[in-house]
Amino acid sequence: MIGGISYASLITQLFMGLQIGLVYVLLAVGLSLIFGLMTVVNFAHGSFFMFGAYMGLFMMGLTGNFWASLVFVPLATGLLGLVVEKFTVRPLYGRDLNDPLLLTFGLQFVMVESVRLIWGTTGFPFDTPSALTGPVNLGFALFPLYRIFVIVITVLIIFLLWVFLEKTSLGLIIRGGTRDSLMVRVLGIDLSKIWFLVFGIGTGLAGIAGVLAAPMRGVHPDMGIDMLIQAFVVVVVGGMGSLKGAVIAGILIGVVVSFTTLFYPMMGEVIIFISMAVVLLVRPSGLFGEEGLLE
Amino acid sequence: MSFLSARSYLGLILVLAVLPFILPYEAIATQILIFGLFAMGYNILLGYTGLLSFGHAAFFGLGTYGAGLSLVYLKVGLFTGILIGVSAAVLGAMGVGLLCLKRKGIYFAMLTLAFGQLFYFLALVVFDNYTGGDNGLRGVPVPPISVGGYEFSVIKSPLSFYYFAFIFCALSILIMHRILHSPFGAVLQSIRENEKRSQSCGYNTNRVKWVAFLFSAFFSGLAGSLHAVYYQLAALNTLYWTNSGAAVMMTILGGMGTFIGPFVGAGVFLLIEDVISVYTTSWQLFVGAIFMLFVLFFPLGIWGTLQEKFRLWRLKE
Amino acid sequence: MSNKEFKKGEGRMSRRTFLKGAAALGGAASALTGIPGISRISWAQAKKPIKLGGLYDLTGPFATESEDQRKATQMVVDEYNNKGGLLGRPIEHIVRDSKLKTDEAALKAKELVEKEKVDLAIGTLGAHTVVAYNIECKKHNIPLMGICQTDDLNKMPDWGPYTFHEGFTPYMTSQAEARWIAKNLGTKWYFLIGQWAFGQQIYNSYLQFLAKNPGITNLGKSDYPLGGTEYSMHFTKIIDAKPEVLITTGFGKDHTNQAKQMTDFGLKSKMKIFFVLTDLMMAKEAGQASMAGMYAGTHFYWELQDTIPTAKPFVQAFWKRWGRPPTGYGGYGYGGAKELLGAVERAGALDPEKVRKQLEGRSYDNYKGKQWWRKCDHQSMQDFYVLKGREPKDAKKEWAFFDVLGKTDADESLERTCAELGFKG
Repeated sequence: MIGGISYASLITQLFMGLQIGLVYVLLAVGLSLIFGLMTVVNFAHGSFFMFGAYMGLFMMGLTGNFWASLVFVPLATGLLGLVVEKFTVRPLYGRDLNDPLLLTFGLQFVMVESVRLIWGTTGFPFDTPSALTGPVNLGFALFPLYRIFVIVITVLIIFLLWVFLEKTSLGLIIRGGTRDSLMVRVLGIDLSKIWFLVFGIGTGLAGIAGVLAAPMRGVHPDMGIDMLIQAFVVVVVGGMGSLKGAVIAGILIGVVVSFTTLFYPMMGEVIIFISMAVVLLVRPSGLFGEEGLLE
Repeated sequence: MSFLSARSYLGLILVLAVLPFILPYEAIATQILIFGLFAMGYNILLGYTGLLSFGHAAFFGLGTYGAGLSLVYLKVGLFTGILIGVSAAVLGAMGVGLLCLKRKGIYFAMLTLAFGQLFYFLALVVFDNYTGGDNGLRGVPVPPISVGGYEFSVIKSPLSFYYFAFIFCALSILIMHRILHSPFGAVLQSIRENEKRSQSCGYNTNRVKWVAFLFSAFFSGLAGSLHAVYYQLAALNTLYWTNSGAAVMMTILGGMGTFIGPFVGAGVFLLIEDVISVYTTSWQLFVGAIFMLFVLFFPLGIWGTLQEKFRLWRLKE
Repeated sequence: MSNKEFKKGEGRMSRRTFLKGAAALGGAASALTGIPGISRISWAQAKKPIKLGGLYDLTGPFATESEDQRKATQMVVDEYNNKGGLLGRPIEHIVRDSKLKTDEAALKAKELVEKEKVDLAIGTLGAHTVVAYNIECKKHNIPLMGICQTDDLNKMPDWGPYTFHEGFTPYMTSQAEARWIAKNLGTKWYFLIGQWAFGQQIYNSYLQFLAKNPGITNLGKSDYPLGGTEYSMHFTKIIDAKPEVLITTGFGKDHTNQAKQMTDFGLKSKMKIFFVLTDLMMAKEAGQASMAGMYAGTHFYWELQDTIPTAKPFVQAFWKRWGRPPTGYGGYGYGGAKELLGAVERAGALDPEKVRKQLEGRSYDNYKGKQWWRKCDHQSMQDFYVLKGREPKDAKKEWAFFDVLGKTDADESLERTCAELGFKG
C-alpha cells in the first residue's frame, strides 16, 4: 500500500487517468494540427466539439444508429469547419497573427448561443449504444465497456492520422507546410487549399471527440467551453504543432489529474495549470514542440 | 496626427466628466469608468507593446482583493486600501511578468492564462476563509475621507462615487498619456514592431517589457480596487478568465492602435451588453457576432476607424 | 439630481413596450383562464404601476431553473393584473439578468433600485447574487423576497428588516436529509462536495449533524470543482472507503454528469447515492436510466399534486402555459411572489413596515402544504421531500422521474436558532 491506498486502486487510478487523457487527446490533436500548420489558435475548437455532440444526437434521433453517427458527425463538423475557414478565417491571412485567435474567440460565443437558441439551454442525455453498455471486469476494477471502446477508437483514429501524415503525399505537404510554408509555396503548391483541408480535419476531429464524449457526459451547450481550456493546456504542454506531443501530454495530464484527485482532491482542477506553467518555464515550447514542427 | 486626435484624451476626460448625465443611470457610468481604466491599462501591453495577455483578470482581481481584504481585515483608510490594492497588483505582476515574459506569442498568452486561473483558484479554494470563496468578500467598508477638514463618505450617493472614481481615472489617463508618448512609449512600440531591431539599437527589451507589464498591472489593479470600493465587495468572477476575455474584447472593439480606443470600446461593450440583455438572454450571441465583425472588417476598432476616416477627410480638404 | 433619459428615450420606450406586452399577455391569460377583464381595462389610462424588480440568473449554468423562477413570478403578477392589479394599480415585473455573477448582480441591483426605482424585489438563483441584491435593497428599505438556497439571507449581517427568505437554507436541507438518510439508508457516509459556498455550507451542516449523532460514521470527503466534466477519478477512493451512502452536492450539469458516470461505473450497486438537491430539468438531462435508483432531496416535485391540494392548480397552470411541469425553483418563484404581493395586498400599502407585519409569524399554504414565516429571521419553514429515481420500466408518464419516498416535516429545530443567527430575543 502507498499512502493508505492499495496497489489495485493505484492501477485503477492509472487506467482512469489514461482514459480521461485520451478524451483530451482527440481534441488536442485537432487544435495542434490547426496551430502547427496555420498558426491559428482556434478558440472555437470546444464549440466544434459541442457541435459534434449535437450532430450525433440529431443523427441518433434520425436513424437510432450510433455507428452511422460516428461516420456522419466528423463529416458534418468538418464541413462546418470548412465554411468557417473560408468565410471568417481566410480573410485574416496576412494580417496580425493574433487576429484568428480573436475571431474564433468571438465565434465560440456565437456558436454556443446559436445552439442554445435552437436546442434550448437544457442538455439532453445521450444513450450509450446498446452494444457497448455494461461493465467489463478488468481484474483490478469494473470498467464501463463503452469507455474501453473510446480508448480503442481514439487509438485507431490517431493511428490513421499518423499514417495519413507520414505515408501519404498530402500528409507530406502538410508536414512540409508546417516546417516551412514559404518553401512549400515556392514549390508551387497552393497552401491555402491545404489550410482549408487541415482546418476541416482539425474541426472534424473535434466533432468526433464530441460525439464520443456524449454518452459519458450528456450533451449540453456548455460542454465545449469546459473542455477548451483543458485542451489548450494539453496542446501547449505537448508543444504546439506536435502530434506526438498532443498524445503524450494528453495522457500525462489525464494521469496527473487522476492521481491528484486521489491524493489531494482539492487541487484537482488547478494542477493542470501548475503543470503547464512548470513545463513551459522549463521547456519553452512544450515537451515536443519546436518552431513549426509536426512530428 | 491632427490637433484634435492628439488631444482626444482631453475630449475623453470631458465626456467622462458629464457621462452620468448622458446615460440612464449612474451605475452603468461607473462601470464604464472602471472597465475603461482596466482596458486602457491592458492596452499598454497589447496595443503598445504587442503582447497579448490572457490573464489580466489576475491584476484586476489582485486590486479588488487587495483593497477589499485590507479594508475588511486591516481596517485601513480608503486611500490606503486602494493603494494596497494597486500594490498587490504590481507585486503580482513583478513575479508573473518575470516568469511569463520569458516566452513570446501564444505561449506568453497561455502562461498568463495559467497564472490568472491560479489566482482564481487561490481565492476560491485555498484562501476561501478570508476571501469568502465564490460568494466573494462582502461588506467591504468604505471609510469616510477628509478633504480640507470636511469628512464625507464617497459612497454617499451614486454620483459622489462616480466623481471620486472619475478623479482617479482622469489622473490615470493623463499619466498614461505621459508614459506612452514619452521615449519609453516609443521603445514599447518599437518592440511591438520588431523586437530584434529594437534590441540591436541597444535596448534591453526584456527589461522594458517587464516595466510595461508593471504599468499595465498598475492601472488594471487600480480599476479593480475601485471596483471593490464601489460594490463594497470583492467579486470572485473578476479573477476568472472571462474577465480577461472582456478586457481583450473591449480593447479590440475600441481600437487597440489608439490611445483612448480601449475606453471607447469598454463603453460601447458595456452599453450593448446592458441594452441587449434587457430584451434577450442571448446577448452573448450579439456581442460575439459584433466582435467577429470588428475583427474582420474594422480591425482598427471603433475609435481607430473613426480617427482614420477623420484623417482621410482632412486630407481631402 | 437630474437624470436625463438615454438618447432614444430608452427608459420610456421600454415601459410602453412592456405595457403593450402585458396587455397581450393578459389577454392571452384571460382567454386561458376564462376570466374576462383585460380587454375592458384601458391601458392607455394606465395608472402608475407598482414595480416589482425581478433579478434572475438567466444566463449561466442554472439558467433553466432561474427561468422558471421568472416564469412563475410572472404567473403571479398576471393573476393580479387580470383582477385589476395590486391595490388597484398594475404590477410591472421588471426583469434583469444577474448572470450568476456577484458584481453583475450588484450592478443590476443598482439599476433596479436607482434607475427603475422598484417598490418590491424578488430573486435570484445563486446564493452570492441574492446577497448582492439584498445589500442594495436594504439601503433603500425595499422588501426583498429571496427565492433560492442560501445560509446567509436569514442571518446577521446580511439580514435586513425587510428581507424574506422563501427558499430553504443549505443548513436546513442537510438536517432534513440527514435525519432521513440515517433512518433509512445507512450509517456509513462518504461525501462528494463541490467547491462553492453552497457545497461548503451543506457539508458544514452535515458535520454538525454527525457531531450530534455518534452512531453515524464520516468516512471522508472528496472535493470537486464546479463544472468539472469528469468524475471517474473520484470513484476509486469512494469505492475503497466502502460507504453505505454517498452524499453528493452535484447540482446542474454536475448533477447530470455525476449521475451518468456513477451509473456507468456501477457505483449504484455498491452503495446508495444521495443527491443533496435535485430538480426536474436536471433529471431530464441525466435521463431516466441514470436517475434510476438515485436518492435525492427537494422542497417540491410536481407529482406532489396528487397528494397536496394546493399543488394541483399551480402545477396545472404552469404546465398549461409553458408546456411542462414546473421545477422546484419555479415553485419558489411562485410561492415567494404570492407571499410578497399578498402581503402588500393585505397591508393595503407598499409601506415596508406594514408589509413586514403581514408576513412575520404568518402561516400559509400556496402550493406545497403548510408553510410559515419564522418571526425572528423571516425564514420560511416548510416540508422537505426525499425522492428516488424510478426504473425506466416504471416511469410510465413523461416527466415522471421520481417516486416520493418520504418527507421531513417542517420544523424550526431543523434550522439554526435565532440566537445562533445573531438575533436577540
